[in-house]
Amino acid sequence: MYPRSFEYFSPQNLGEALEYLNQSAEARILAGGQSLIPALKLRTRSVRALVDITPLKELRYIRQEGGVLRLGALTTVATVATDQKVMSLVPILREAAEQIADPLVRNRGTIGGNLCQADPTNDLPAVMLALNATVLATSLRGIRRMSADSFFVGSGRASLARDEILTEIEVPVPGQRTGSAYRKVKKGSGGFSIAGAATCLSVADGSTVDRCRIGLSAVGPTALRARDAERTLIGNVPTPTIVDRAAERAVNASQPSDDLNASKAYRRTVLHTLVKDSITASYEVALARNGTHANEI
Amino acid sequence: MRTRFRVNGKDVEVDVEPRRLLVSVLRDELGLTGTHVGCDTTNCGACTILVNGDAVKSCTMLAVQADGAEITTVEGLAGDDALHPVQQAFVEKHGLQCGFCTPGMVVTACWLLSKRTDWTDPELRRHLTGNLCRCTGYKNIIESVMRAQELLNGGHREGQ
Repeated sequence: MYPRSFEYFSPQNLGEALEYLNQSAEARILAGGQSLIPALKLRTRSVRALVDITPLKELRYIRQEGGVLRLGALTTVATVATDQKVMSLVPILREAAEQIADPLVRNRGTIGGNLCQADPTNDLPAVMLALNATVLATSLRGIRRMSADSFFVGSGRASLARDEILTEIEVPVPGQRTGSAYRKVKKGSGGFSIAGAATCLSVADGSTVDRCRIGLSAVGPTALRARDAERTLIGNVPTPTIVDRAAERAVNASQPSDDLNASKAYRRTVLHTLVKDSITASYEVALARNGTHANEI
Repeated sequence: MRTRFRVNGKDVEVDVEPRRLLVSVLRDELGLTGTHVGCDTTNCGACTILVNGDAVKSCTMLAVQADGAEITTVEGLAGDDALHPVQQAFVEKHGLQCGFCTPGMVVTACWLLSKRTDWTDPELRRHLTGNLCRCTGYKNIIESVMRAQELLNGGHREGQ
């Protein structure tokens, strides 16, 4: 299978890439290509020109600066899935990354690409919502910062102007008393997600949830926040009844669709279990980091 | 578009359209037909090759993106008179039935074993999910990779 013909430009540095994007209205960005190239081959998408940013080493890094972890947009999913810093500081990122596609795709796929696709079945958008991450978009006009909440605007639509490149993702390192977990069900070992739930919560006074963010994948036009579910947990001890109620509210906030992979009803049922599991797992981690065990409560 | 890369230790230069996939250039321009095209949709892994040491699906990479890269295909694994330990292990453990997925399986196994040689059986199963075998001969494939690991760790060849 061949894509339709296109012009190809491989810049030497970020400046050249931005210049090219600025001059060519038709140009689109090629990063790891693990979603874009299949789409071009199937001709569900076509492009006039591609700027291949894969060689830009300056966008491949993982750095800790104070309370934030900075991830260059071209960091591969494989790197995130195996990096020691990620593992110790933001374990949910690693947990989600190692569930993406398969190891061969992860070797080329990038985290920036995963986010910019704004595909609701991708895993990292929901995780970035739960982590309250900030994304940096760079253009010749400067750098624009936005919260993950405002980045995903619709199915396949991220809040990026035509001349902007997503260059960095800034993840606040969760503090003590914080736990996070990502749970998903996918079709087959390397298939698309049926549903996914990412939770990041912290505990005060030994047992009460004081902060909580929940992101959902594959159950709406884009990754969604489950705000009602978050409110149900905040200020409460997550007993099985509270967790069940929160999961129910997350299901109510979801807008799943019927497709080849799953029916709406099945997605809702699966989501309910996944939200419960991700809350429970996050809470256990938060308590363990706080020196308390769940069975003492 | 002029594209230069190194494949199995040899420098090559090809003139390709940007839309050409790397797998088709390897097979049709360079005659390296060991790399197979199975699904052509990034699912099956029959087209797996090493690019700068990492296993990737060559049907999901443009040939022009290989410019400056160091590539190894299944043809580049064996020495002049000896099979690569992974190939040897696939022979010993009957790691193939029809053989179509084998080049991809072998290359992925080489990549995994280049990173570590203490894989457990369940870990290998998880890390071979990018390679599909339509004969469903997975049991022997896993046994082959475990055997290759043993060979690389100094285990004896059968019959010795």
